[in-house]
Amino acid sequence: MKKEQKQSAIGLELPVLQAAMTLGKDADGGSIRKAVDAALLRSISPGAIYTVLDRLETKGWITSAMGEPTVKRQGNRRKYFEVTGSGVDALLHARRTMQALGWLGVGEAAP
Amino acid sequence: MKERLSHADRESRSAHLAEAKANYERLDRSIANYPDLSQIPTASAAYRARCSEELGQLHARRAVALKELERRAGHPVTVEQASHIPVESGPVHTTSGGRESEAEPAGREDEREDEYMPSAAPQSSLFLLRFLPTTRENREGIIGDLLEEFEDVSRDHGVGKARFWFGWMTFASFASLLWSRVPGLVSFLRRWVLR
Repeated sequence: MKKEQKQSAIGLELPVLQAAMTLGKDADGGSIRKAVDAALLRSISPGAIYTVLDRLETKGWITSAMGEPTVKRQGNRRKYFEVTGSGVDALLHARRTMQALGWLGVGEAAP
Repeated sequence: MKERLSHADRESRSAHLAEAKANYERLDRSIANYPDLSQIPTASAAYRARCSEELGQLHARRAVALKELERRAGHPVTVEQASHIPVESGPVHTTSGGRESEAEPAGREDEREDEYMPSAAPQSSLFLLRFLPTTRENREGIIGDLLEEFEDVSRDHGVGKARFWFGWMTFASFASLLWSRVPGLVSFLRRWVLR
């Protein structure tokens, strides 16, 4: 019997997807990285964030668009990201999984 | 009463002149600090066109600022004289609502945001970042994000620490991008060996 292949968010995917969702239309690589850094209390390199964003885009959970070049960025364009409908589904799926596993009960049970 | 009015007039005129002079000097500084495109080999044609347009606008605004300076000084002013126009020394004070406040010396706050200052980001790291093993769009995004954040880090922690941070981020980006290629490389090798 073939195993059902349902894609789930793994590793950094969930925080990155959630950050992109929270930031909305202002979500670019830099702001997503800052949001994830602040949430995880550690510094993550832009290379790691863009790797995850690429993976999310391959899964169809986000879309990207390039902005205009600016002098401050020495002519490098900003890359904007937007969460798609299936990305929102993935976030909800992750939340349901956590709830099903009793994740929210851990804090209450802790001494 | 007459004496007080004339004194107030003189103060106001001096404040206006100082403001015009500061505005001219700000634009002059922006032009002088504008990026030298020959030092940015990665600059695209679109970026070069944009820079040229911005520089043209800065020159036009500086010409308008010079006219304004002439009008407020009450006599013709050349480009060489503009920075040497005597303005009464000391901070200029204006009175509003009975409370003294220091006059804004260099134009509006939002006007100052477009002032270009050259980045002190390490050139060696910037050179290495051009070879990041990822797509062109991602590379542009990563370099731009790092340059923007470099300004924030150098403002908060000093240029030395910011330069170290920039170098570390360059190394970490390379490491994570190369690591992300390992599974693909392994599967390619496995296919190649099993063929």
